[in-house]
Amino acid sequence: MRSHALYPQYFIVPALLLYLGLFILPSLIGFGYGLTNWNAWNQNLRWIGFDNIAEIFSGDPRYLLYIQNTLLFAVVTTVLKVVIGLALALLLSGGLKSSNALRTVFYLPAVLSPLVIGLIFTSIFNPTRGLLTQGLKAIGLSGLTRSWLVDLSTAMPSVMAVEVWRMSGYCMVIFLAGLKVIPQNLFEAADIDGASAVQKFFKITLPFLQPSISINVILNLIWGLKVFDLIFVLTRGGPGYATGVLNTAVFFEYSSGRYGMATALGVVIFVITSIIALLVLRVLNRNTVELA
Amino acid sequence: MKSTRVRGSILEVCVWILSLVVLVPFVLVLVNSLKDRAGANIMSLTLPSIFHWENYAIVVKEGKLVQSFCNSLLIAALSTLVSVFFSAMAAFVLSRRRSRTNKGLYYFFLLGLAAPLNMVTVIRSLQIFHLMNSYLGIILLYGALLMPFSIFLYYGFIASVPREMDESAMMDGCRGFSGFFLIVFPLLQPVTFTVCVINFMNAWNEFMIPLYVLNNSGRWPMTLAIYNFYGRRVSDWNLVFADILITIFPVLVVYIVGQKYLVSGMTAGAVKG
Repeated sequence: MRSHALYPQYFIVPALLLYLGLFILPSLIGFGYGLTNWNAWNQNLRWIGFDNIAEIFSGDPRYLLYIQNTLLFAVVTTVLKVVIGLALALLLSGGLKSSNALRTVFYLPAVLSPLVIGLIFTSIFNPTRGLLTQGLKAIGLSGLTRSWLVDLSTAMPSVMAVEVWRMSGYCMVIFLAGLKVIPQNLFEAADIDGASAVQKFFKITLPFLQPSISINVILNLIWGLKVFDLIFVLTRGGPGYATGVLNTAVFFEYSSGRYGMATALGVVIFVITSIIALLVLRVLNRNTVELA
Repeated sequence: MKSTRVRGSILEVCVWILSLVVLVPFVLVLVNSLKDRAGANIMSLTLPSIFHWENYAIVVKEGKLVQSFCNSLLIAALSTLVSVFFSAMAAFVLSRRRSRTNKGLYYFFLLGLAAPLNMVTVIRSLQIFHLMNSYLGIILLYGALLMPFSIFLYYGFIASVPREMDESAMMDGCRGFSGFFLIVFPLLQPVTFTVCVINFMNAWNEFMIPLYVLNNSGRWPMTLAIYNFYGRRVSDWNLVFADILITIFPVLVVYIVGQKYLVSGMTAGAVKG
């Protein structure tokens, strides 16, 4: 009775209503609208069952390529961001005098809009005048220069590189927080036992960083699967469909008026993200338990 | 002893050289935003021979940036406000009264951390509520999207505030909304700063949602305005770069001032797992 008066249940209502109306409702009706022919030119909404889903998985090979690109982008960028982020965190935690200023610098790209980052790199990747081409020419590697975002073989790696550039600092900050909680006397004890730096890294640092690794992997995979801004501004999914991902496909289906198909693709993103998030969480949690 | 200090200094210099990978693109934007059109199109890192400050005035006028800046400010500030108040209230009760229902609700909110938004049915939902293409619609939509992480941060923080604080105060007769906002909410100040910094930045940086939801260019935020400006003036890199700096300026200020709060929020939960 006392806690009823102190902590009234109706305090939850505004947040819940907003969340239900504009987050949960769209997700739920997606499962319905994804099974219709909903479009811009026909007023009659017609139930077409799994036709959209069938088209995605066996009709037009483009869609499978989008799914493949999305997974590739999410996995490759996540691995690189985590490895580079960890390396940066180890560098910065080594007692540098200006480590706070360095942290501010490395973290900076992560707080800016991916759209703006994409615009900056549109200039840097300019095939004739961009900074990358200029730099390669300056060190005598002009043979390596190419049309980074237009060339089929370099478009996807270039886009991924920008994402890694953008978010490695984020992973670094998470790792720096994780490194702080490692008891220093463990390292002292290891020194007395004559452990090498490599041994200390694998036996002390890495096990203690397990929670930070989990959170970085999970978050970056989820964000990677949802990527839109960066690819939209850098390549619009091109050349051809080489950098097309699910979220750019949703946008182009929507723009061409095929709302039902766009919704079905949204549902595919939802399902893939849920499955991957659950799987990765299970695997990472199992590892943590084994360590404990 | 001396050799370790020398080695430390060398390492320090090396890491600063490494940080150029991050800094050089921003130097590129800064110096070229002050050149003339031909100079900026060479895209070099040299300083401009004449500083063309008027680029900024031109881009503000031609890109209709006053309107867009106000739009971004309005949308980001109000959606931050909505998410802060609603999530603080909800997290307070969810954290203090851990009934089975409330635990379930907490996890239900956390689903939103992972679930992607289905943009086309978001538009359908906004149409149902007559909120499509309006400030109110996009503010409430951001509020809903920012809710899960805000509730997560408040929930964890409230658990660390002793119950006696709110109980003794509220027993004196302050209850309900007034009790919460007069007594409990001020106690949550550190985490409120964190939530404000993170939510403001996310709302300011958002591009995809206004692209779908706001058709009227008079309501466009900075991100849409700059994308549109770039589309029209691809070859005027001096102006595009000036536009970029104006767009990121508020976020830079919030970042420098609120970095402490930002980092504490971003790493919440990362240490505990």
